[in-house]
Amino acid sequence: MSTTAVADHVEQLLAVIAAQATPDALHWLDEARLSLKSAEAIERLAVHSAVARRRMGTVRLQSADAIALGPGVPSLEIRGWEIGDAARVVLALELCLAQPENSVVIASGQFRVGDESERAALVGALSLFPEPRRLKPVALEAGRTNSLRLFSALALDNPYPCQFYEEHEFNQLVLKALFAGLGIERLVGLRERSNPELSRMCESYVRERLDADRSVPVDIWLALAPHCTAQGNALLLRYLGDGDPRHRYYAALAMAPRTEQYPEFGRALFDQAARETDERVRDTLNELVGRHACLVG
Amino acid sequence: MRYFDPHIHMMSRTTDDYENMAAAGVAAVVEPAFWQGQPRTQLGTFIDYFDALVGWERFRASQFGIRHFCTIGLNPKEANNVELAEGVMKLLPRYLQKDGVVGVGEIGFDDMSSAEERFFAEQLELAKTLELPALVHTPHRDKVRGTERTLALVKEVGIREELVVVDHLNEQTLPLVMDTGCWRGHSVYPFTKMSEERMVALLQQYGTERILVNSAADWGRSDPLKVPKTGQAMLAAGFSEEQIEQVLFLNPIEYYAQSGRISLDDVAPPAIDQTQLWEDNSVLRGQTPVVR
Repeated sequence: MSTTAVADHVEQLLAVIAAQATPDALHWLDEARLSLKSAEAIERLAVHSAVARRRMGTVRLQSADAIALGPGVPSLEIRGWEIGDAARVVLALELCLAQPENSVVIASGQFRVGDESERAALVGALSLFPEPRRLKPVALEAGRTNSLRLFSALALDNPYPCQFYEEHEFNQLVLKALFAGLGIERLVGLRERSNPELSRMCESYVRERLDADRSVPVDIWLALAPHCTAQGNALLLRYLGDGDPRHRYYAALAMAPRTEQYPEFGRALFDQAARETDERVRDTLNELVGRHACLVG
Repeated sequence: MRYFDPHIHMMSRTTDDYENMAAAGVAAVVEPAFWQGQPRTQLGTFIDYFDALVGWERFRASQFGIRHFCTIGLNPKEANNVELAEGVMKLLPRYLQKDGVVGVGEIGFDDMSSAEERFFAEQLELAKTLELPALVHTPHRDKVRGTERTLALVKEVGIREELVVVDHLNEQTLPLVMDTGCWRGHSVYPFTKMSEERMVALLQQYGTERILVNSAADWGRSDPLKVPKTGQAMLAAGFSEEQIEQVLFLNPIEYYAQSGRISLDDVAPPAIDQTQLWEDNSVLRGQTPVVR
């Protein structure tokens, strides 16, 4: 990522912060940014980052456009970020711009000394840094956490994994998100990065949950369907008619792109739409059935 | 009835304890940095421990709707390895800046060696400079002498006495602290330290002002429900619900609020349930929700 692009990201974040920050908070941020131009900037960054939430407040960014990351790459959604976290990211990015040869040291150092909320802010913003690919060790380490707060920052609404993870790394992230009960609809790039191995892992996990007489994650179908086996197809058809409307919803979403390859999916979606009792699921089914023309002959 | 346990070592407790504490009305805790049963030998283990106090343990507590705050410091049991202790002292300023770190602690005397005194004094200075509360552990052996030396050191360093809580007090040592502006901490702990009944007697004798009660539950035979149980004992002894809430919920918040890192609002029922945050499109499915 060019320094111009990083500088643009900083400008965009600053504009969003300025729209919601108090005058005191803005003053603190300006002073903090200025202080990073002098000696011991990395140490100062650590202190500013630690106190940022207390200085900036905890209001969440509203009406903020997603940050574009380039052609063909999903954007980074920043709406919902805490303003203090946005400030942390601005400070870290600006220090990287000032010391481009040190950007990896700066980012990984910030991860090392940050508390959990600082780490989550950093991990959520990894795509914005110069040479983001070189920060993969930071992402992978964050992914090893059992804290849902940090793990969510990596796995949800974050275009970093789908851009830079190898297939097995991405698959493990999806599966861990399912294990943790996170909604994988918000796992960016899931469809684009789906693969046969991921489908196999999900089919195996569904069998494991059924054997243990435990609930199956209602949205696992999104990860299972794209490259599943015949057993996976059977599961999809079964859960399209499940008692839980959330299963029916996600099974339908997962099956719809596969109706050309499996006409029985189209028939099943059509039949379910006719008998569906849940309003949201019914509306979704009607839309999918209308969109995909492979209906019952 | 809401409770606040201002001294409890949750890292040594199981999730069963969190569940039981939440059910009993414990809304928040302060976990002081301490040792882990045998002395650490490497600086890295302190770093990882401090990181866990501000990271994993805080998250773990949140899963049960309990707000977790901590104090960071070099405890007296690990102050006698001077080279290691000097290394730990260099780490402290960074951790004392973090959100949710509400004081320096737990510091104090154990064997009452000169090394312990050195690092106790240095940390009182640090608390004074940073205007942070200082949680002080009084020794279990030669307690009266240890409390006297503690109070003398507090005076010598010149830290504002209201910033200091002298903990693990009993019938002999509480009167010493009552003569000062320091807060008065008591650990209700089976077989050793204080009991609920004796705590009630002290409250009846000395009142509720600047009194703190905690369980100091750790990896020893201890009970993380001692604060609610003390509340029950107070009720049975005729204290009003307002008085119980004052001692067992409002007092610790008032004390630690001096850090600027905690307030009554922070300890209200869990602020945000993520299943509501994202407009009906719930983040989590069937597992424990993230609450903040």
